[in-house]
Amino acid sequence: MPPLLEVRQLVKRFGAMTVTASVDLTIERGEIHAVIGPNGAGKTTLMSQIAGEIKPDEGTILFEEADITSLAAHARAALGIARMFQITRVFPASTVLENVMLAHLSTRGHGFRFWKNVHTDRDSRSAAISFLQRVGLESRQETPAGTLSHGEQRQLEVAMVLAGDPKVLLLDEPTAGMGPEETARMVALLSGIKGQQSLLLVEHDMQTVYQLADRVTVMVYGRTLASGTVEEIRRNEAVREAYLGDEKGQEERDA
Amino acid sequence: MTFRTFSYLVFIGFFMTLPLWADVFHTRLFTRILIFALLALSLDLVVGYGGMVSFGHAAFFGTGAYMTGMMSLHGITDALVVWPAAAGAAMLIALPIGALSLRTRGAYFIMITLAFAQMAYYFASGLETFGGSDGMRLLARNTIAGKEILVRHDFFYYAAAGSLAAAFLLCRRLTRSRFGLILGGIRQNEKRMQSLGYATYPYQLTCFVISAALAGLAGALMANETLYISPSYLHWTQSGHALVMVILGGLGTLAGPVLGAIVLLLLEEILSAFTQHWMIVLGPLLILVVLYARGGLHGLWPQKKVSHATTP
Amino acid sequence: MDPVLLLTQVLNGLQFGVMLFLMAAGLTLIFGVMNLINLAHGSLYMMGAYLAATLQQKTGSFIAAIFLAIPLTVLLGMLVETLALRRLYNRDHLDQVLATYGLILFFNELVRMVWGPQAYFMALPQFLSHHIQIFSGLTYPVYRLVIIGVGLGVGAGLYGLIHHTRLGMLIRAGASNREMVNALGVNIRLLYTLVFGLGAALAGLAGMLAGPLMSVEVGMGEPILILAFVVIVIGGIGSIQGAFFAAVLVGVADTFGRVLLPPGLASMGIYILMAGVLCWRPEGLFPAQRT
Repeated sequence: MPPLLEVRQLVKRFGAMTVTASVDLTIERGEIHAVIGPNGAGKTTLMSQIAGEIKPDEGTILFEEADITSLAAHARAALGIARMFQITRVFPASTVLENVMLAHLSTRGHGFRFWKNVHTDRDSRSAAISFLQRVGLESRQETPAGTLSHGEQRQLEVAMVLAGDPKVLLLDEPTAGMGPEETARMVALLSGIKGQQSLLLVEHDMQTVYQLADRVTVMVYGRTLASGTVEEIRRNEAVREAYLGDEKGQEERDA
Repeated sequence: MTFRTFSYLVFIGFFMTLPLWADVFHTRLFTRILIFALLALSLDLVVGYGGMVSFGHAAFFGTGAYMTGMMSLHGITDALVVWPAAAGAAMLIALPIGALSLRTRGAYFIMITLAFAQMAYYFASGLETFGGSDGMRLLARNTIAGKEILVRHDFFYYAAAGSLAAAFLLCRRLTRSRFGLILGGIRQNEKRMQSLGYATYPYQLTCFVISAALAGLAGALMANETLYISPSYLHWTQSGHALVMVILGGLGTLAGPVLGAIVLLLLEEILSAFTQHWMIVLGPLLILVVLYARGGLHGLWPQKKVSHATTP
Repeated sequence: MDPVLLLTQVLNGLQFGVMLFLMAAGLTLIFGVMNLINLAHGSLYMMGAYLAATLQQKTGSFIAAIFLAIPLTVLLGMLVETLALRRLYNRDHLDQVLATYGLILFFNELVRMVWGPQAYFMALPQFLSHHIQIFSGLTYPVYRLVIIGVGLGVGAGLYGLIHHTRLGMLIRAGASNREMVNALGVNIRLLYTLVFGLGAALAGLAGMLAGPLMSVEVGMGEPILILAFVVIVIGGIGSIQGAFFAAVLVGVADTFGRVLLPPGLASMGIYILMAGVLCWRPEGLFPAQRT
């Protein structure tokens, strides 16, 4: 079976700075694929290019074997590529339920329905509630999203991306800024969808990566250094040298 | 009965019975207030709900007025034809203006809508058939199904009140519909809506055009009330005036703009009784409202629940 | 079109263009550095004109009036900035529009109270009020040439200020990265007040120069303010060079529009130009580099 998503030789420059300097990546259906690498390795830029928010200068992105390199972000989202951001971007003034409804309705045809009250629309409402149950937020339906705690907002984000019924989910540091308790809850939540949902994960915390990922791609200085199963990556000499075993040297290089 | 319900009932009762006990002067004053409330409501749909700060709504207000004048020149004077036509004409004008202006965001959008309205203003000033920059008198108010009942100021008051009530209910449905929900999402975070898979542009443009229709209707009503059309309908201060009503009353609420129109026009009426230089008071007052009273007057009204349509 | 008329119109367009530039430069500078959309910029233009007209009556000298009125306009601008506008830098554009709209109402009424509703006319001194022969067959008013000269001079001065002085470096840095300027230990409040004063000087100067060409009256600032917005939209917000080229483009296009197009369309010409630019390049012709 061909891979779900394939990135070939992606290059992105900002002025004189090359942020992505030739990245290759494949994601199989149903797998959780983690991208790791030191700060400034270009992981977030890679995500933005897959999501269509940044246009690459060179290279191709294939989704279900179709070339999507020049598609706009919303068109990719419509194909089933959903992104969850590193920075929480819920709609703060809308209620939790409305947030999930917005995500859910994006898969349900056009939104040019001017008359019927969306809050009393049974179908969209119950669907949205079912997603809130999956992330454990069903009791907070009517709360404005902006007043949720950070961890809850991340949970809401997960409900929102799941509600969009994506074929692949792009997760950018889902546990960033969370306390240990919130992190554990998030990891449990993600383990729960393992196997049902193709997922591309950018993560700093190696512990989380080892718990969740099926395969791992290591990026350094905008390049793919290695790609393989968790075990293969753990044993890979080049990876140890460049990243895992050599944190100190890395910090010096960053500075 | 809660205080909130009571205050609404008093409010509605006041406006329903006003022509029965008020003199002609006050009936006409409140007719104008209702018409401006309709204009402010239409603007709030774009600014408060759509998140697009339009500084060019006078263009659509004026289009409605000039459409009324043009049809009366051609002998078409029935409100059942003229008023929908005025709203339609405003939509036709709003479509290209919105389509172009929405290619930009933020400060650009403000400047561009302002510039397009100025263009419409100069265009109207050059229309010799309509008296150029002096404007033109209308012979009579529109008829309804051939009957000249709007000649009576009290009947015309009710026509304006009915239009406002209908527009209010329309906006209420609209903002609670799926379309309204999506619009609210775009207002809060357009990029995020795109990444959820929404093409945001058509929604914003639709909102802009619907709003223009209501502004056009307000223009037609105002032309009927004053029996006079002139480029002053399209003057940029008209847009500014309407924005002030929206902010004064409370952005992103439906009752807010109506309240804002009532308070601002009454305030002007009262201030002008004391001094002809009332704007020297109004200007700084406006600055104070912006700096210190963001929620507008609507924020002082007894609330059922926290309004969820505020700009973050 | 015969060459003499053509050249006359080019000069007229250039003269109008540099006036627009004086307005647009201040607007775009204030927007670029403080992120403020300032509708009251037209009021500074009007106040400049009224101050100069009054000072000319008192002193009897046009030149003296201008040199006295500019610092007064700058002071007025800084006063307005300190009292009201600096509270708006971190607000959204809607708040800024409304508050500065309030300022317009205030200034227009103030002028009506102090100077009355009637229009003023500024007389030109002898040496500026005649025509000179540029070449055989083409004579042109000296004063309009002076305006072109002043406008180009100010443009060159601004370019030098922004690219070759410490203040200019701070302005450029402030436009692209506010936090960095703060981190440099610069008194950012003072910088903002100075930039606003500079913008006020330019707007006031434009108003004073316009005085002898048009009547000095209440509300004179707003039409040119809206045109300056058009210039900024075409040139790209925050870019002085963009403002210059767009101002000249708009000035020349408007002048030729009035000669070539039927009257109804003539006044719409530049807005159609703006619409064209928007279709082609929504960011304007010379978008400023922002990070």
